[in-house]
Amino acid sequence: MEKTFQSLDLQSEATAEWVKPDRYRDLENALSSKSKLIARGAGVSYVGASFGDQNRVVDVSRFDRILGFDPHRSTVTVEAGCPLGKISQFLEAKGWILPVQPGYAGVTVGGAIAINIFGKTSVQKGTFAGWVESIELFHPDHGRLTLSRDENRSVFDLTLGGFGLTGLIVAATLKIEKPKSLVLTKRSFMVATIEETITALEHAQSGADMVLTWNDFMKKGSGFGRGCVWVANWHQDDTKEKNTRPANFDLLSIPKRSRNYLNRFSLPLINFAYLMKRRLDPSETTTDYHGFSYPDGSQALYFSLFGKSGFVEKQMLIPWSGVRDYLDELQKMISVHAPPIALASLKVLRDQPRFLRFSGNGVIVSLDIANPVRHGSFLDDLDMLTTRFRGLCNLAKDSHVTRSTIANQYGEYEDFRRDLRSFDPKRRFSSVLSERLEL
Amino acid sequence: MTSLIVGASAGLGRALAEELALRGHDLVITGRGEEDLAAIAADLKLRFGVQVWPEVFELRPARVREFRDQVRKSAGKIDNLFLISGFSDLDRDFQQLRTDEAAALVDTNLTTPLCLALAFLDDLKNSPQGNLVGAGTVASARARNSNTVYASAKRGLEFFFAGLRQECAPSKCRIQFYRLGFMRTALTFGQQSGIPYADPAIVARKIADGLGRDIELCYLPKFWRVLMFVYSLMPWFLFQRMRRSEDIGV
Repeated sequence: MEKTFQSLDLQSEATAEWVKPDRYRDLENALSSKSKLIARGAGVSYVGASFGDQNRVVDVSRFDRILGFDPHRSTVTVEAGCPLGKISQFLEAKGWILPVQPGYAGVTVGGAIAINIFGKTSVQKGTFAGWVESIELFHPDHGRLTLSRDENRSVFDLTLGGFGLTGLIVAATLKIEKPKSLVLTKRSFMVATIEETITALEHAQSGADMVLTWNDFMKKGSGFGRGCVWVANWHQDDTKEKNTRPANFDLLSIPKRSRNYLNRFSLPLINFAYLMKRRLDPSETTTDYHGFSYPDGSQALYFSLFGKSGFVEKQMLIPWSGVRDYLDELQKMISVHAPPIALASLKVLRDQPRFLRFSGNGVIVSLDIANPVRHGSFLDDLDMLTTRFRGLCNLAKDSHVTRSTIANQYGEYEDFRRDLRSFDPKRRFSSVLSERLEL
Repeated sequence: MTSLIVGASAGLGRALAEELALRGHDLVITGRGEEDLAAIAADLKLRFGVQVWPEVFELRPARVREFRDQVRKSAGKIDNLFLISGFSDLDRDFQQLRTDEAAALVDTNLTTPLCLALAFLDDLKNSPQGNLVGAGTVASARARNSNTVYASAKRGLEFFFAGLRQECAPSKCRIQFYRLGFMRTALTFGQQSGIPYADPAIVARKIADGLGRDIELCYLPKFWRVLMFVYSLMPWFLFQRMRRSEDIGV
């Protein structure tokens, strides 16, 4: 069937043929089309990574089964359409976890590999790529391939964070961990400035299992970046009370609102109210890993408040050496442009960079900017600033970033293009994202 | 309790396998796709801790006894038999079908399930909690010029189940037959209709809830009963105008 797809940030749209097989023979038949192809899992990519104009979009969400669990080798094998929340629930019942999980339980394994997601554990566990042991890939010209660090290594590297451009991920074997308990001790504390936030992150680097912040970037003057820091560590014993929250809600069923409610007048008030609410939180609490990883359905309400004009998420990885200066400059830029920043959050990432993967060592600065069309000059300046500080923009989140910016920031941009063409000269797989970035 | 699901590799059969595994049934699942069955079996074993035997079998009436022996060898005697598989060609009917294609439709939808029911009937009658469940279609509620060969075969299966119900009355085996409406499966993906499509998981739950009961005929989802009652009462002068292009597309 023909369908018009939209990215989660509402900045990309395309009409494509949508097929949703449920048997393996139909899946392979679906990929025999002469049209350009792209796989789709949960369909919640911020950018147009799971659809392309006039492509055939092959939905793998019916391939959602758990195929193997090997506690001796610490692995789980799953089909590409399996949601991470489902795997997480299965594993946690046995005392195991996926060490890297995003904030939305519906994200599928195929999507997590293609996008190379990360989560609240990024400070110690890096990104998803590091936890993939092997991948089963189908490409219409190459057939089924097993990819791992020992087999088809070059295609394996291209596929991890390769935006689904090497073929359709059929299944994957993931490395898992058995923590001391499934309960976390979560500490939260307020910070008055962005400088205090950075100091807290520096301290958390060595001792925290998980860390993230919320910051008020709409606050002017010396209070810029005030907010809250959450630091979590595995609890020693598993008998503490667990606060399991429902994890399954459908991001694609967000009620559509035409108006944008997040603007430079409402956001300071919302941020102030949020800050007051956080002040009332207990400074130390226990929670279970599942509940901490996957927030509740309020996320859906948040996205709907951006209205028809949507938003752009700018997510930048800034090396530690320049992060203070970067944030100083960012503050100045914000005071000049006054963009409506609905969310500002910082995390720490420790990982090895490769090709177009959003990875390296540094601080991740995430900003959700409402009504992005009106604030294009701020977004352009932000990209230049990030490039100047040798930072990276996350391609998987950012509908605004251009090919030239990416080529400047990612040293292996041309290597990725060259190796991709070497593997797939016909370039059978493409998306709105790959077309925009000329991948 | 061991349940055999015929047609378990996708759609309602797959949903039923999951629902029964959730309720603790050991399962024999059969279909044509080896990889699909293996994936379902692995998933259900891991998540629900039940035993699952995937049996790849191209079911034809002549091979039913061979299939029964294979099932008995791997899983022993069964307690429940779910005849879910079926096939219809929504685009072609009557003279558009070759004779062998029409015969294959009847084989898949009537002869094979009928022979399967007969082959396993002793197991079901001897089980302390036996159930035989058949899947029909709302298309067989009233004959018309669409999907007719398929609907005829399913109507024949209904008739057979009605007879079985009387045959099994003295035993503990219970018979259930369902006329199924539109469901969200790969077969119906992309089709548009004013009538809502049911989630196979919900239909599977209703079928599992019905185990142990005597059900001669039940529509799932239930609103189809009202719909098809009205449809069957429609006077001929109106009905004859609802030829294929205007029909409700069942």
